Amino acid sequence: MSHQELLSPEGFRYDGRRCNEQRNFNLELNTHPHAADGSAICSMGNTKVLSLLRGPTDSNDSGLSLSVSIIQPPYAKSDRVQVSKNDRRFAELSLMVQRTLLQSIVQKAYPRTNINIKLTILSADGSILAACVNSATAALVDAGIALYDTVTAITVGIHDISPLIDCNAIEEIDLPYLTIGTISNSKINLLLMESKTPLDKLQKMINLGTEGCIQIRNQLDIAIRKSAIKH
Amino acid sequence: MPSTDNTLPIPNILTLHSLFSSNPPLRPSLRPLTEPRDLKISIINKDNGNIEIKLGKTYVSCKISAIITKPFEDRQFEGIFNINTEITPMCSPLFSNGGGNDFSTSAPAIIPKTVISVEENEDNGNDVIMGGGAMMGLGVDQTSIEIMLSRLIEKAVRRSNALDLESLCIIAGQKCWSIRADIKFLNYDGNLIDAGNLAVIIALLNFKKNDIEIIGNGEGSELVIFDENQREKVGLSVLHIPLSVTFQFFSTESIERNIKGEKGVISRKIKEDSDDEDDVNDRMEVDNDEVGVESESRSSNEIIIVDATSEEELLSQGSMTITLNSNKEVCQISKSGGLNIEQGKILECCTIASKIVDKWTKQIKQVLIDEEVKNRDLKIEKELSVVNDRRTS
Amino acid sequence: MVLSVAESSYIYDSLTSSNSSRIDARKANQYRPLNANCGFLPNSNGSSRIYNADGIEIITSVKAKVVRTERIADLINVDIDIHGEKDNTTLCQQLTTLIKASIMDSFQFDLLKLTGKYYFQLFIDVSILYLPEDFSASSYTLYSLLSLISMNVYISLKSTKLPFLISSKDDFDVEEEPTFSDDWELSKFLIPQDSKNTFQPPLIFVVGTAGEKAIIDPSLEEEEILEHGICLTWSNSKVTTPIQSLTLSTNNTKALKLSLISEAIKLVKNVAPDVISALDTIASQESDDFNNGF
Repeated sequence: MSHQELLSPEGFRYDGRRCNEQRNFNLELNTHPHAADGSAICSMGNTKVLSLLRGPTDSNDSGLSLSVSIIQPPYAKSDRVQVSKNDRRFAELSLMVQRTLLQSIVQKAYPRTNINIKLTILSADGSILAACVNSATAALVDAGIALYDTVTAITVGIHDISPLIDCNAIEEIDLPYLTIGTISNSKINLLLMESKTPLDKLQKMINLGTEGCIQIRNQLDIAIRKSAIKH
Repeated sequence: MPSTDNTLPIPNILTLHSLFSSNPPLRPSLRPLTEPRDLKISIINKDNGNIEIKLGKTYVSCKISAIITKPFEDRQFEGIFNINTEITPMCSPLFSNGGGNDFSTSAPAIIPKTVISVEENEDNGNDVIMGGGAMMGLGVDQTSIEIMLSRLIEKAVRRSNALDLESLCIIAGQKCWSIRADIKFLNYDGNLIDAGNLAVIIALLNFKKNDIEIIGNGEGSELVIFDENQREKVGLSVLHIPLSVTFQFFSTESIERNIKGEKGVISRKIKEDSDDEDDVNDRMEVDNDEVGVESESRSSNEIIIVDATSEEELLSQGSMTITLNSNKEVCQISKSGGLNIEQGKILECCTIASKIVDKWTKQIKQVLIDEEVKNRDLKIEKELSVVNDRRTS
Repeated sequence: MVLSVAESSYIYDSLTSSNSSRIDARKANQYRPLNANCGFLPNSNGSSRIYNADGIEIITSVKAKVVRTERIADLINVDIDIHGEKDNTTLCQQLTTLIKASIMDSFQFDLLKLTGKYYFQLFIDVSILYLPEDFSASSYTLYSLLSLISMNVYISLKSTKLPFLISSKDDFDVEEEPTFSDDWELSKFLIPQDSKNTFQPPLIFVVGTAGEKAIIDPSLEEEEILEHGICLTWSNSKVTTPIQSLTLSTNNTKALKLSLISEAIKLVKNVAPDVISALDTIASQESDDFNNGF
């Protein structure tokens, strides 16, 4: 993919979006009422993450123990790839999701409690971590876990000087990008960047990212209200 | 303050807490908040890149080894580079051997909580929970430490292409160098990430591998490895020097106030009026008002420190690792969970990190130059002695 | 699940009495309600999802890859994963072998032939997203799953679409790789939908027997009192191998009467056409909007 194709001089991205345009965002709560205490599906473009939450259940530890596991089945990407269950990248991702969520849960309300979240990446097309966080947050809400506030996340890439929101897989390969997650007041809870970026471009990316998180938050809010009316 | 070698200091939580809540906040060692500890680099064996660094009382050693193998099928033009991190009980009795090799389900984080109740009435939820937020350190279970540590160092050094992998290719698809860095943590006093990262990079810069040459073309070509006496060893091509700086965050506010800042401010004002409650948080903020320090620390009183010791890591409520090189390129940022931080503070952290990285880079380069000078002297001596030998014979 | 003596004798007696009835008021040839849909995975050639009232949920994806091989046996790969369990549990392995065997036995391999030299290789990945806890120790799990997975695979194979080949079909003399049209509208179904006499992927039915009665799709409670089970494969409009006699519960097992096997076959012959037409309807109603898939 040439650099030019990713962002045309007219300001259109490879898939026809503008710089600050998100992909189609869809969030559905309570998708698996029989299989889980809280469930949600988050799709950001072609990325789809299903989360199943079981809990709160009893635990022997003194505090709240939250466990998150992320599974990417072999069919998630366009080429079939088998992901080992010991893959360190996914172990790290699940740890990041776990810590991000832990901060938003009212922990003192859940002593000796176990909450177990299983995330399945049904289809992967960039922004995996962000979709995992959004999906897991929605599952927490669906299960009725007390939260201080919801955490929402999005990715931002940078093309020369223009930051691009909500990157897809093609953009993630060629451009530096970061995943940002915020809680209310636009305070940053999650920040992950794995590719080399000049320091002076960081501010722009974080600015756009926090804006994007607010958008996602609004959409999450709408989805929650919708599911509340339905049930 | 405590801390003797090999015994874990039992942190006096209240002392630490009150030091951090003093104005301006202080560290137990009275080190400035954004100042790292002294870095000491000792080169044990210059040729196999065996080095040891000391960051305060955190000791890390790193050794590089190189062998010739077959490259990966999908990366025929590149060599192989692996980083191996190991936390053993040697560095601190807190760690056990082989924490956990199965990452299939992330182990639930068992977090010892140190709750300091800042108000008599527990039920209005203003307890400050210290600890549990550290990315690394005593507050978290070992499996997650190991995952994060190895991933962070790997991303900092390997994914940022610090080592030019293409230069390790000997014959495309057939032979390449496989470089392996073994990091050993010898003593733990906080900040394993930065220390580990420093150790790998310094070791890579010092390592020299045997020179090789391919003789002949096509089928009959032969690979000749020269030993030290035949040809001088060659260094690795290290493209840039990425260094990590890990920040720890503290706050004297409750989590709720940290998240819902606005509400906290209102309730504080009410309390100021009533003035009959003895709230450590409020007192601190009121103090701030009176002395009128930076307005920023008033809007959100997160305390940010770099290069935390083990005690400080125990109390930390959140951490963030930034990896930079001296060209002001950010190679990675990683913050997950823990205290929520405003974006302005994060950029501030980047600036601080960049200064520290510059300082460390300078120091590393100085060490390399010193080493070079030493080597050159030896070489000249050798040559001279040869000349002398001839003369006498 | 442990039933009391009174409970189990009630279930058994009402089932085997002359005026037979099942505890959930189903007929002997009636399934429990199932939900299924297909075509919601954007990165797969075919996909389907099925879930029943127990909450068991299975997602299957079919991916096709172009290969150049002579070995027909390599063309179909089945991989089953149970969420939260290791890959090598006996349950996983048993399921994989049985499903693969049943597909290989009846598959019409010329459907996969692309050109003279190239074939499509199919990867059938099954993820079992959720298994209720009281299922994990029961033999019932294996066979009820088997039946569900086979239906799921049926739908996904039926809904699998392959891209349209634009290079020449006959490439024995020329050395060229197959090329495909970019236009997804031109894609064809792997198994043509219109013609009546094409191959049907196999379906596995589990029949339970008690006394002289044979019932289809036994529930967890019924399984406790059944004397025997028979697992039958239905493919291309007839009962085929593997036919297996199975021990559904350990409490009540008796020897299997021959007459019951033919009874079971009759039952399956009775049910199968309905099941197939139901599954075909689902497979033809591909959800265009991926988000409606859930």
